[in-house]
Amino acid sequence: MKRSFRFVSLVCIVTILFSCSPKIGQGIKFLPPIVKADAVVQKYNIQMDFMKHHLSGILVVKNMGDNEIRLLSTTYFGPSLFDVSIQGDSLRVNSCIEPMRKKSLLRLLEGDFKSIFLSQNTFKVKVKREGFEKRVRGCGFSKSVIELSKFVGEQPESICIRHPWIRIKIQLDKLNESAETNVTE
Amino acid sequence: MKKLIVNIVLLFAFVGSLGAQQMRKMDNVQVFERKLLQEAKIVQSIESDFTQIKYLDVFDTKVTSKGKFYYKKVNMISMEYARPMNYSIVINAGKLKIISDGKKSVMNLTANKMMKEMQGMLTASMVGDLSQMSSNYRQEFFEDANYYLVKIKPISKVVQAYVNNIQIYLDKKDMSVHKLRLSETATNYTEYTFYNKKFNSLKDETKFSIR
Repeated sequence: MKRSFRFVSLVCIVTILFSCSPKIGQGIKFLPPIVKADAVVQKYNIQMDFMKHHLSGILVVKNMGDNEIRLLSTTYFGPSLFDVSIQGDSLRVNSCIEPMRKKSLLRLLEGDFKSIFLSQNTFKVKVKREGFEKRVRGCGFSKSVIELSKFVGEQPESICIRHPWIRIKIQLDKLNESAETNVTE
Repeated sequence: MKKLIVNIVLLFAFVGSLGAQQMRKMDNVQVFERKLLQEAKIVQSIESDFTQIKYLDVFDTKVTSKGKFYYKKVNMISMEYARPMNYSIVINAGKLKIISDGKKSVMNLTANKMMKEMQGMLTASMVGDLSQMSSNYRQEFFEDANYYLVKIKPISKVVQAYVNNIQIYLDKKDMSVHKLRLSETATNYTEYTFYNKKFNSLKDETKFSIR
């Protein structure tokens, strides 16, 4: 009786432990940040498509130190769109134009920016070949697809995030060094 | 000691001469307004190159863009950016058209009071037609040997959230806008400099088409 109780307990403990843990066979691992934000300013052409709406501008990214990544977007014409900071795991909105000041939109941007600039364990690499990588997370309304291309070393110069069910697409294209003559620090 | 005093005197003289080159309060605002009105009547169109500098204070970084500026009476503006991206913006008949990466989007500015206000303010600033500025803006006038400077501050807090102040530098030779600085905050600004200007040479209006 005592022996069978021990056996049942062991089975229960093992069941509980392994039902909550990642599948060891598939080995869930943290993917490194898609873009490593560093102390030097990086600039991207950003395009956001939401249903029929199209918004574009320049995204400037810099690691400010103290675990803070700052992202600032402006229209080509000049006026700023948003200025946010990723600090640790949270996103702080420093400023944002009124039409973008919507919780759902900011939450979506937060998720997307974190998946680019922080390590991730929620995405799975679905396709990987030379110069191209496709990552997928979730399904249905929460599905996100990231496509990376134009790699220079480990870092892609073209990043496309799609939320197919809610018809939102964010495209980032790095402004290359030849355009650097236009950017002075 | 003698050398030190001479150096201090020279330093003060140098600083003094710098001050002399700075903008001073305009002597006669009526004369300025009359000249501006007179030129506004003559000018039917403007074509020019422009350089745009966006200063981001948090990064202490400037992003510079270049392109072509077109204006045609009445209130038609087209800005064609060539660097760092191909991009164009057209304002015509209360509508705003943006073409970026081959994608076109058109916005009706008259439907939104705030956008309408911004459009009026921008158009007036870019072509230097201050008569279009409503009484919702406080204006101050300065000048030096070459330029007039008009500092404009929106009175409305709602407009101030987008534009804290505007500085327009007008060339004394032809009263055209030489430089325009739009400050979003005390330290963040976008500055446009216009050069290679041609007046009244633009014949057709295809550049301003919203379709």
